[in-house]
Amino acid sequence: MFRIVNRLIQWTGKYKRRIYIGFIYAFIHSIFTAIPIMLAANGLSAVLDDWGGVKPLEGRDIWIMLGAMILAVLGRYLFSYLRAITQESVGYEATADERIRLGDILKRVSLGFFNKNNIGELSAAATTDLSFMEMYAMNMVNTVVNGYITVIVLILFLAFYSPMAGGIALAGVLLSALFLHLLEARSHQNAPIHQKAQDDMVESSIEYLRGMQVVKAFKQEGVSIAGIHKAYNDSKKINIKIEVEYMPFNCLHLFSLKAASIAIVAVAAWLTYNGSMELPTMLMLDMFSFMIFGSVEAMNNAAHVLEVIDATLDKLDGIEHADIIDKDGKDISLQNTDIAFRDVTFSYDKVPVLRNISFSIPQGSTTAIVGPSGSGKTTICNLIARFYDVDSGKVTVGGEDVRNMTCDSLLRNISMVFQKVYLFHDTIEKNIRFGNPSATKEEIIEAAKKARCHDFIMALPDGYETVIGEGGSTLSGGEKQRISIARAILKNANIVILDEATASIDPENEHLIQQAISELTIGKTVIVIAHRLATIEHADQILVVDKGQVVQKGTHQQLVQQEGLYRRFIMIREQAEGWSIRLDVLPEDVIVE
Amino acid sequence: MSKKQSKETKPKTGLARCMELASDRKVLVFLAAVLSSLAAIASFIPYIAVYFMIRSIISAFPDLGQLDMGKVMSYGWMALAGIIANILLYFLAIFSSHMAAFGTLYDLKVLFADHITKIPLGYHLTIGSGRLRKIMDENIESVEGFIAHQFPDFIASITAPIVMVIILFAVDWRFGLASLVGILLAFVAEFIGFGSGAMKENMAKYQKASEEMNNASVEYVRGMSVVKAFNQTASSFKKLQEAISGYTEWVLKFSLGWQNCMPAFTTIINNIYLIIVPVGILLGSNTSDFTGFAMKFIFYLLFVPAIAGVLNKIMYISESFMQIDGNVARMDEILNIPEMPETSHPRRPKGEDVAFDHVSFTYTGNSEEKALEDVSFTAKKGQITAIVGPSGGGKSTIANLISRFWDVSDGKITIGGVDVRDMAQDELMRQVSFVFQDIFLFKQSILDNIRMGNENATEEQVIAAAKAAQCHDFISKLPYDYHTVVGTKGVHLSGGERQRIAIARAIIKDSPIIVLDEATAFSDPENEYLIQKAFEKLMQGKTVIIIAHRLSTIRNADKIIVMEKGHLVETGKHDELVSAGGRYAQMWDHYTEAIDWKISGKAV
Repeated sequence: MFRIVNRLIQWTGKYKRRIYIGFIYAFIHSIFTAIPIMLAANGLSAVLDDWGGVKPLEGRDIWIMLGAMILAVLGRYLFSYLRAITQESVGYEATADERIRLGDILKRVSLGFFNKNNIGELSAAATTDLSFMEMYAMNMVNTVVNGYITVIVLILFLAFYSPMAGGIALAGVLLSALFLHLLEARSHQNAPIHQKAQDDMVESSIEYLRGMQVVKAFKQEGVSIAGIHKAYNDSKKINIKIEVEYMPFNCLHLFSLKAASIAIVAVAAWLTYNGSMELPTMLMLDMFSFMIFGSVEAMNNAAHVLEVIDATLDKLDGIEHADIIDKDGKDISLQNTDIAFRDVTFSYDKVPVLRNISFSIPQGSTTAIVGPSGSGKTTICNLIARFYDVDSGKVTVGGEDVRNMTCDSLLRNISMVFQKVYLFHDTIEKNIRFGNPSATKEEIIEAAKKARCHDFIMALPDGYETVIGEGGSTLSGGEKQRISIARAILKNANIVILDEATASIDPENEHLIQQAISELTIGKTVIVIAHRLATIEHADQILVVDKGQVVQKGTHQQLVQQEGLYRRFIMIREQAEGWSIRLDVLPEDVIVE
Repeated sequence: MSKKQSKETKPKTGLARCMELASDRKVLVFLAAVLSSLAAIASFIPYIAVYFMIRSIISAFPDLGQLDMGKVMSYGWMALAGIIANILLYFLAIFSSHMAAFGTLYDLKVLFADHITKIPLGYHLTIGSGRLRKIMDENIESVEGFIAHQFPDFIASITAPIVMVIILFAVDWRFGLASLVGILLAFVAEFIGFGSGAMKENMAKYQKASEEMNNASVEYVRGMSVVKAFNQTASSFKKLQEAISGYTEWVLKFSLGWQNCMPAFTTIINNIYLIIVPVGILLGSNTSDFTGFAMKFIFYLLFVPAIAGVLNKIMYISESFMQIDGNVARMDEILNIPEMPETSHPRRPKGEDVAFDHVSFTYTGNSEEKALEDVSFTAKKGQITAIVGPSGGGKSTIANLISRFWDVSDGKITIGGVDVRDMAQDELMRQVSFVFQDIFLFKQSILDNIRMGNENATEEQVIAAAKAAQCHDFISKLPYDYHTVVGTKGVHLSGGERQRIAIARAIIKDSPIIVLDEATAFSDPENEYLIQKAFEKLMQGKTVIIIAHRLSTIRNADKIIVMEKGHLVETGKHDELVSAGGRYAQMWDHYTEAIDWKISGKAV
C-alpha cells in the first residue's frame, strides 16, 4: 500500500514538496483533533470535582475552557483546510502536467507507436485514466498517509495517559494493517485472474456484437450466445469467489480495530477499579477509544483503489518510456527532393517487411509502387516520411539521411494523401487551413477549387464554416477525400505521397478525386501506391514489390516486355477490369500459375 | 424477464429501476436490506454498553470498592458482542447484496445480449458495435456495483440516522436538541459552499471544460498521423495545451471550492462537543440529580464519533446516486428499442423472386428525410439485378431492407409473393445469403467459420465450398490448414482472403437469393480476380442482387437499377441505359474517363 502511495507521490514530481507540507498540516490537524477531547474530559473532571466538593466550578474556568475548545476546533478547521488546499490541488496540477507531457511525447514518438498501441487505449489513457488519477490520487494519499499520521498522533496522546491503552491501540492498528496487507496481497494475486475474466468477457462481447450480422444471417444464434453466456457466467463466478475471499480480511481488519476500542475501555475501567487511574482520565480514554481508529477504518477500500492506480501508473510509464524518434535530429533545409533507398531492411514486430531494397527517385518524377497486398508498398512510403526507422541501410531525401533530420523539418517537404481520411471535428475551412496555417481565405478557396470541393462546400448550408461531423453535414467518403487533397494542395510540399485511395467510391466521385490529384501532383516528386495499373502507365518509374523486395523496376513499356510479375498483373488485371458478372457461362481459369 | 422492459407509462430511473431489475432476487435483496439495517442498529450497541459501564462506575464513585466488577465486565462483553454483530451483519448484508448483484448482472447481460439479437439489425449499424459493447460491459456493470455496495449502505444510511435521532432524544431531549443543532449547522456549512450559485456555475463550467479537453485529447491522438504529416505538431499541441489549462483552471476552482466547505462540514460533525459541552455545563449548574445528569452528559460526549460516522456515510452515498442514473438510462435506451415483430402465422415463399412494391423508408422516422421513396422493382430468379448510383443514393438501404435489418415505412417487400414481414425470421434467413463489405470472421477454426453457413456440412463439403470460393489454396498453406484458428498469432489473412472465406460460407449455405455488396476495396489484381471467380460460383442459378461500384462489372446484368437520392431514376439493361443518355449514361462516361486516367505529375 505504501509502495503505491510512494509511487504516487513520486509521480507528482515538482509538487512533491506540497504533499510533504500537507503531511505536516495533517500532523498538526491531528493534534487539534485530540485537544477538544482532552478539554471535554477536563470539563467533565471539573464538573465532577464541583459535584464531589473538591473544587467549586467557577464561571471563569468555564469560559476559558470553552474558549480553548473553540480555538482547538478552529485550529482543526484551519489545518484541515490548509491541508486540503495544499494537497488536493496537487492531484489536478500533476495530472495537467501529465496530460501535457503525454501530448508532448505522443507528438514525438514514431507513428509506428500508434499502430502498436491501440488508439482507443491511448485516448483512454489521456482521458478516463487520467481523470481517475486526478480524482483519487490525492484522496488516496490523504486516506493512507494522513490516516496513519492521525492514528499515530492519537495513540501517542493515549499512551501519555496510559501506556497500556496506547499499547492496545497500537496492537489493534498493527493487526488491522496486517490483515490489510494480506487483503492487498490477495487482491494483487487475484488482479490478473479478474482481469482475464474481464478481458474474456469484453472479447466475447466484441465477437458477439461484431459477428451479429453473420450470426443472424446464418441463423446460428445458439453457437455464439453460448460463448457469451459462458464468459458472463465465468466472470460472475470469479467475482463471487473474489468477494468471498476478501470478506474474512475485511471483517478481521475492522474487528481488530473495534475490539481494540473495547479493550481500551475495559482496561481503563479495570485500572480505575483498582485505583491506578483517575475517573476523568478513564472517561477521556473512553471518548478516545471510539474515535481513535476513525481515520484507518475505511482503509480497506483504499487497497482496491490503489491497485487500480498502480495499473494506471504502469500504463502511463509505458507511454512515457516510448522512444522518441527524432531526438538526435537537426532542422535541415533540403536543397532538392531526390529520394533514395540504399540497402534498406526493415521489420515490423520482428517480421521482416522489406529486405535489402535500393532505388532512387529523382526530383520531379513520378514513381509508382505496385505489388500484391502485404508486399511492403505502404511501408516504403512510411519509411520516406520516417514514421518508422530502418533496421539497416538508409533512406535519404535531398541527399540527407532522414535520421539526421527532425520529423518537422522532413515532413515540411512531404504531402501525404492517405487511404483513410481523417478530418478534424472543426469547420471545413480550418480543416483545409491545416495544410498551411498562414493561408488567406482566398488561398483556401483556391485550393478547394483545385481539389474539386468548392462546389459541394458552397452547397452546404454554412459553406466553409460547416463543422464536419455535425448533424446534417455528413460528407460522403469521396467528399472527405477531396477535402484532404485540398489540405495537401494548400501545403504545397514538393514531395507528394499518394495511396491511390478509391475504395468503393462511385464513379463520379472517383472522377473528381482524380482531377484533384492531378492538380496536387503538378511539378512535384510523386510516389504513388497504385492499385489500378492503368493509372500508372505514364509513370516515369514503376517499382514492382513482392515479398519485401523490389523484383522489377522500369517504365510501363519496359516492364510489359519483360517476363515477370508486372506482366502477369497486367494480364489478370485486364480480365478483372473487363469482368462482368454473368450467370450462364463460367469462363475457364486463365490464371497464370 | 420480459416484464422488466419497463413498459409502464412512467419509466423508472436510478435506484427504483435497479430494484426493479433485481426483483428476481427479492429474497437476497430483502435480506441485504434487513441485515444492513440490523448492522446499523448493532453499531450503536457498543456506545450504549460502554455508557452503561461508565454509569455503573460513576454510581459507585467515589467509593469504587463497592463496584460490581462482574457487571462492568459483562457490559464490556456486550460491547464486544455489539461489534461482532455489527461486523458480521454488515458483511452478511454485503454478501447477500453481492450475490443479488452478480446474479442480476448476469441476468441483465443475458437479457441484453438476447434483446439485441431481436431488435432490427439496422440499429447495430447506427448505434455501432463499440457503443453497444460499452453499454454491455461498462454501463450494465455499474448496476452490479450499485446493488452490491451502495444499496446496503443506502439502507443503512436511512436506518442509522433514524435510530441515532431516537437515541439522541431518548436519553435526554435537551442534549438531543443540542446535537441536532450541531448536525444542522454542519449541513448549513455544507450547503453554503456547495449550493451557492458560484459553485453551480463552476460546476457547469468545469463539466464543459472537461468535455472539451477530452474531445481535444481524443482528437489529438486520433489525428496524430495527419498532424504529423502536416507538420502541425506545434499548433495542435498548443490547442491541446490550451484545452488542458482551461480545464485545469476550472477543475481547481471547482474542487477547491468544494474544499472550502468540506473541512467545515467534517470539523463540525466531529466537534459537536462544542455545543454539547456548554449546554452540559449550563444544565449541570441547574440540576438536582447530578449523577443522572453527569451520566447523560458523558453519554453525549461518547456518542459524538457515532454521529460523525453516520453523517459521513450519508454524504458519501448521495454522490453515487447521480452516476447510476445515467448508466441505467443508457442501458434502458437500448432495452426500449422494440423487438423486430415476428409474425405469428409464418408463410413460406412460393418462389424466389424478390419484389419491392412502392417501398419508402426513413431511418429517422421523419418523413422529410426519406432514404428510399416509392421504390418498385422485381429481381427475378436466375437473373442478376444490379443497383448502382452515387453514395447516399440508397443502394445499401435496399440491401438492408431485403434482409429486414429494418422494416419498410411504406409499401412492401416480397419474396416469392410473400411479404418478408409475414415470413419467419429463420425462413427469411434460409432464403437469403449476404456477402457484406465488412467481413467478420469468428475466432474459430476456418472450418467452423465456413461451416457457419451450414452446420451439417461435412468436412468434404466445406472443402468443396472453399475450392469453389478460391480459398482452398491459401487455406492449405496455413499452419493447421482448415483447423487454423482465425486471429491466432502468425495467422494473417488479407482482406481478399477473408472476403473469399465469407463467400465460401455463403456457397455452403446455398440459399436461393444472394445479396452481394461488390466489395472492391481495391485489393491487388490477383486477389480481385479470385474474388470474382468466387462470386461466379456463388451466383449460379440464383436470384442475384448486387450493389455495384464498378460499372464494368454489371454490363451483363439482366437489370440495372439506378438509385439517386432515394429514388429509382432509371432501370434497364446496360446498352439501353447508355443509349438512353440519362443518368446512367452520364455515370458511364465518368467511369470510362476515370478508368483511362493516368497519373503523371505534369500539368493537366
